Amino acid sequence: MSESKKGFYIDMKLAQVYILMQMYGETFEIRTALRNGTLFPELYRPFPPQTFQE
Amino acid sequence: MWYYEKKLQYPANVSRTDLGMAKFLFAQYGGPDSELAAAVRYLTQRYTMPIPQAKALLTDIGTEELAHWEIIGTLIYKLTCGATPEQMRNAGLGDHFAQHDNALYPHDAAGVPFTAAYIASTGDPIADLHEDLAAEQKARTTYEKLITLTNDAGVIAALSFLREREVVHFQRFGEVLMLVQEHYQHKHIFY
Amino acid sequence: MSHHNKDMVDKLKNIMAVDFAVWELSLFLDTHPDERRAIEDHNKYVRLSYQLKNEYESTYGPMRLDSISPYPYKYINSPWPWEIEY
Repeated sequence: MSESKKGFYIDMKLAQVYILMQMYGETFEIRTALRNGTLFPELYRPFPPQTFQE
Repeated sequence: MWYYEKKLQYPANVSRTDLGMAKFLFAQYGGPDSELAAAVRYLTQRYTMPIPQAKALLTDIGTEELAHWEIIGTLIYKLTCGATPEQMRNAGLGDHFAQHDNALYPHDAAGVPFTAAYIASTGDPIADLHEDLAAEQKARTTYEKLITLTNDAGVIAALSFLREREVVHFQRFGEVLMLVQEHYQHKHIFY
Repeated sequence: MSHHNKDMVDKLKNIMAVDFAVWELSLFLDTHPDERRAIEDHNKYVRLSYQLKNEYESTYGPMRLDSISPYPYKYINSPWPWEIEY
């Protein structure tokens, strides 16, 4: 199976959902966490969506 | 058992009385994807979860939903504080006033009373966890609609907090679904 | 809406921030029970929360029915969450 083929992953079965297990990493300062609604930067998805240009 | 703590999970403020917005917020107080429905759903499904991680997560997220129900209740209380019957009537809350005065009641934004028919509990952990993932997405999109219906900075801040909690819960339910699937694979049970 | 003093609200919001960190770490640990660093952080915030709540309750009254109460029973009169302007 070619890895460049979109939506195909090795060792995964059909008709089953998958989600990545979160790894423990950086955390927000706790007051920022309360304001953002999460302690974890990688789970922070503000609404309306923000677009970042780098 | 549970102990009550006299504190909100998030400091919910409103800038002014807004009966129209209070009416919309009933969606999350007593609607199908409300915080009440979420709490009852998870705290009911937890008994038949097969692994410790799932029993713990449904108990803890179910408990958090009760704290969110309190935040929504606080917003509605503050938004309707001191409103006259005439103001209630003009805001489309005349039928609410007739039956409940300025009290809260678990009904949705259109006044439909809360019912246990909003939740499922199939006894099949895989099916129940899929319902929970869907419930978090439905609540997330409801919060997005509610956010676009107001320009009150306090209300937006509280609703944004609650919306983000749906994202985090979705991740946790997804992780627990992975663990439950793995558990069944070890036991050679395939759904 | 009753107005409460700034010190009380500041202390309460501080407790909310610490308790939120405890909560987030607890949910994380439900699905990652062997993540040592998360347990350490969890316990650090639990200790801090305990300390801040003791301090808050000694001035503004019990937050819970299993908190030590002065005479007369103060739990009923300390401010209710929906009545506070934050």
